[in-house]
Amino acid sequence: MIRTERALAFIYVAAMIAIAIWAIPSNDRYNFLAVRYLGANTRVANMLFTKPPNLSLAGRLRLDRLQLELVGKYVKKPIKPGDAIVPTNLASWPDLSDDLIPVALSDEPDWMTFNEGSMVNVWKGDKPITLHGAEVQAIVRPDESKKTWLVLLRRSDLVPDYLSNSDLAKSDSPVKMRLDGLPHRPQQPAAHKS
Amino acid sequence: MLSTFLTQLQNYFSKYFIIGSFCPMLACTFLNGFLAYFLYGAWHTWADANILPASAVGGTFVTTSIIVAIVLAAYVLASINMFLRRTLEGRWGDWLRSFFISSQMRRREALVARLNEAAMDMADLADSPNWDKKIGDAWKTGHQIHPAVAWQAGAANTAIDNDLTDLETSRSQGGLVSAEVLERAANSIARALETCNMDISPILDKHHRRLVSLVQYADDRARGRYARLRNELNSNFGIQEEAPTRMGNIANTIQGYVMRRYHCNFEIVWSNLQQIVPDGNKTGATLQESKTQLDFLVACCWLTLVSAAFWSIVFAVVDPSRFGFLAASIGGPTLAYMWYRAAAEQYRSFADVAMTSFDTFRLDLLSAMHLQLPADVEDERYIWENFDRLTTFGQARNFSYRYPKQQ
Repeated sequence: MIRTERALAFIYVAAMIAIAIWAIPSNDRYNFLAVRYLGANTRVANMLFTKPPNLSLAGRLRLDRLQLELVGKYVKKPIKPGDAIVPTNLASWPDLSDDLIPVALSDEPDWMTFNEGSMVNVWKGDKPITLHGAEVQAIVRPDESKKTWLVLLRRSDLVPDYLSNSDLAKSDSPVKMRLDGLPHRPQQPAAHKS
Repeated sequence: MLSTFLTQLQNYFSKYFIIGSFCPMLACTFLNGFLAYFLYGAWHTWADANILPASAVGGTFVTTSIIVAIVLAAYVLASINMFLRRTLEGRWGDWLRSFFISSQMRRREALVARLNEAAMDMADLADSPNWDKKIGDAWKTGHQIHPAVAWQAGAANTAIDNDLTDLETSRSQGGLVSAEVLERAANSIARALETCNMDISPILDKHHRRLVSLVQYADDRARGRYARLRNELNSNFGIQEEAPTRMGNIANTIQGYVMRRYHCNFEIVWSNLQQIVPDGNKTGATLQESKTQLDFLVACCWLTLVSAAFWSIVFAVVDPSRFGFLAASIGGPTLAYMWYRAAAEQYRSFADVAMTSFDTFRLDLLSAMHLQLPADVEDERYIWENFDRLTTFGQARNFSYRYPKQQ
């Protein structure tokens, strides 16, 4: 014979599971919103997202936790301004093509303006090594303990003989980089990544 | 800082308060705060700024305030500990009691049925001297009538051997050796003995020795089992009506024992008994320690339940999380139940100490109440019965007071 306590325990557990499944809303619906267009491989930083208006307490608590999870990740698929940044659309490392050249950056950039999609010009000493400006493919930090960042540029955006020209490659002259264009939404997304 | 605070706390409160109420409350607060620290950024930030940097003046003030709040909460907990314990004992309304009591009744009935079964085994095995006599008589008969006939192995021998082998197998597994099968084997051996001379039948002699050994085992086992089940019954249920919870029934065992042994209503003399047991006495210290451990476990049980309820609400309403809700609403009560079971076992230990205290100090208690000391067991039962009638029912019962002689 089933004892009263066991029957009650069974009913209680069943009730709790039922409540969990049907009565407790999923808080996955609370997400940060992108403040601007975020292309694929954009590194997510605090300034790139904002909380939705009229957020409930549950939402605020969820986003407080989520914030730590988002920062430092890379966008997988482009996000339009005002769209949600969902954790499943983020990766811990950008999805990169093979034909990229790293250019070192000594300080952490301003992620709002200097991120994937920004246009830059690069000089080594007084010699430009970009043709008509290069589009940043991603900015990464290979070693988290160091302050050095690497800006990844397409090889095709650099002067063709940059790597083969011993003067440029072996020169001790510092590399200088100038921001020439803010990250923007590509006009033709299909042709954006080569 | 905490150790200094605890030392100072001990000067104001007893160590029993610190262990029984303050420690559970401190642990509960810490664990809940720890959990919230990892779940909620705002609390994380506030704790980092105000609690963890204890060197800062503000941090020290906040930490001290929190500990004072914990002391106050522990004091409230200590004040309501009896209520909380009685709730676990099943001091509920009649409707709720009737709902749960049947389960406890069934548990008791199952135990009583096993006890009766053990008693029947003992009764059956009480016949074993008769089996010996029957075998002895058969041996004499066989010896006189068939002095030159030896026992021949055959179907009858196989039947005896099979019975004995089965019983020996059961014995080797610590199992029951049935009195019925033993009697059957004894009868078979007796019948066999009537047909031959055992002195020249070593197989039969060996069967007999095996039987004696099995009877001895069965008797020891039945007595041991009976005693164990009797103790189990006495340490799980009192002699008064069943309580709806396990802990309540264990609590009843104290009253049950004192009533059964001395015909005394323990509840009316418990407070007096605590006064009688000297502070420096080992029994008094053991009684207090045992009570403190019980209070500790009861407090842990309730604090776990309250925490589980709190987090269930948080995960259901404030910060919806299915996993969190299930962990709090199912894991919390499971943990509380484990505390409850530990508390019930500790109650058994406390009951033992309380019974021992009564055994040891009951005559001192009578002396302290200036009542005449009893001459024998019957006299003592008479005194306690009449004391109960006077105290509980207000019946007219007269006692002559005895005063210590003046020096």
